[in-house]
Amino acid sequence: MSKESVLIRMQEVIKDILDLDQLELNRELTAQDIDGWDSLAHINIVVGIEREFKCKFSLAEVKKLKCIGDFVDLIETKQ
Amino acid sequence: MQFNSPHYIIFLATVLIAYCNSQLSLRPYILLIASYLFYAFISLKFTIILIFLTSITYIISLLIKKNKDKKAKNLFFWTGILFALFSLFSFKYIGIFLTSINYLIGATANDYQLIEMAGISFISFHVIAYLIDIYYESVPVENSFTRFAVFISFFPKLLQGPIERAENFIPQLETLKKPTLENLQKGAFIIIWGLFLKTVVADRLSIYVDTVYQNTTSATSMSALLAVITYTFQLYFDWVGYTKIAIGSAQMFGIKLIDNFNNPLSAVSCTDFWRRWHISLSSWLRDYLFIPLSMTLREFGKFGLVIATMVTFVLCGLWHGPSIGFILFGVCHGIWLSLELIFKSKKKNIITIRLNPRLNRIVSNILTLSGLSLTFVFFRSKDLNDAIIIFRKCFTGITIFFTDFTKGINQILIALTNLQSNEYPWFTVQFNSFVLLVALSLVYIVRRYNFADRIQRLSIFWQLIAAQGLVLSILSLGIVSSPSFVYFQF
Repeated sequence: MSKESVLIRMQEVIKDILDLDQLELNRELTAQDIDGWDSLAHINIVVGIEREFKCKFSLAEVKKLKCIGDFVDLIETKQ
Repeated sequence: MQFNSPHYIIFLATVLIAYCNSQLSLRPYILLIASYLFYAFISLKFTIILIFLTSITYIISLLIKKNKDKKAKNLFFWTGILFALFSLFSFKYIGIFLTSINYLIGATANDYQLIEMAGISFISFHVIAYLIDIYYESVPVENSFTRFAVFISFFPKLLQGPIERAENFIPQLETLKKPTLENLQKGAFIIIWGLFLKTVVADRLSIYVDTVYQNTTSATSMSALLAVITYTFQLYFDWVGYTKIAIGSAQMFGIKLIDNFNNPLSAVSCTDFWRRWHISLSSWLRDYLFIPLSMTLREFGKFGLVIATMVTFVLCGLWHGPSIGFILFGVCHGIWLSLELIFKSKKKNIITIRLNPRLNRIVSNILTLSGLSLTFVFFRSKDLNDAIIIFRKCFTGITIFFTDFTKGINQILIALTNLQSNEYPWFTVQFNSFVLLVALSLVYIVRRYNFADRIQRLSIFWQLIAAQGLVLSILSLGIVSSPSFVYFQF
């Protein structure tokens, strides 16, 4: 699966959880840049992405994520 | 040595002179010696314990870095965490723990002569955050003992925070420069503003609060209601005043500390409040407790999030002190946040009242402030009995408002102008209310028109005029009703 398709699927999950229809993700975006991405949303996004990509993340892996690009790379390693 | 004492100003000036006249390589040492001296003025015993705690954590951090073997790394990490928790427990909770054990087994209570170490809650949270960060490799291990020790013990933040993060703080120590005139001016102005908030606003507000809480049974229902609302403001201005002095002091050395507040009195929900209040603690709890717990419980959906929220806030309450009042404060906030979490659907709030957005914000703000003020009763009351008396009186006061609004307003005005206290005659109380009205209006204008930034752009002459105006108002209108800062007890 290419990084672009991971990003697109991820975007759909986050759009749905945060209820942001206009959201357009790119690799450089961080949680602070996205409206409504707080600690609760963070957990919901992790769970949503785990379900979408049928994988599991450890706390250590989630803690290291700094931006969307890191998340995409992590998902790719799980596929 | 309190921040609002003349001794602190002399201490700060002396450290700055030594700092300005020293070589670049010596500056971290000066900050470290100054921090230990600052702590030694409180207690030499505490300073020795602090040095010991810092040294052990430093050694453990190097061992975590050195060991590539997962098992050994885990062992050192957990040793460090348990050591920090043990220190927190030993110097904060052991007294109440032994008393409770005695009570449970029915033994005669002993008068335990135990050390309650000032600032241990903040020190131990710095240590725990650092160990977790280096364990998960979020920050590099600091090789210099001096820089690490300054991170733990830097005197402006040592006793009441803000709880700094290694990734923000330590890099600043690597690039220490000679203090600039701009930093000195800015820092001094922030300190004066902090002193103004403490002595002119918070300490004057405390008059309405102390009169009621010193004798809860004789207080009228309306003065109790006034005291409950006023205490929220007093606590906020007391602490924001402290934080400003800490930030201003650090600024003079060219070090930027986290701003702990983002206008929390404008919060429109409990969730919003915790994003704005004591930001360094709430973000600590979020990153090192709530997220790990909710990650572990994520399979349970909203139920898991509720459990994580409750555990986080009960521990938050307990962090403030070992008393049932603080635990109940945490429980109330945990329940409130859980309800917001449950009733907030993905698309919109389930409970929606159709109001004009501006009116909706004002109503939400008033309801949030009222709820918060009720939970802060646990902070201020000396015991649970007092808290119950205050709640009963507040209920009577609110009933008066609902049955006869004019009577309610009249009684509030009476409470504001006459405390029915022998300690404060009516003219003192009326003068106090007038000064507070002017001071709070000034605070509002300063924030509304962003004077903090504007003042930096003024010429030195006008900056001096503004600073002198504030100093004069502190000297003439400031009072020291509570020499210590409220958060010092935590």
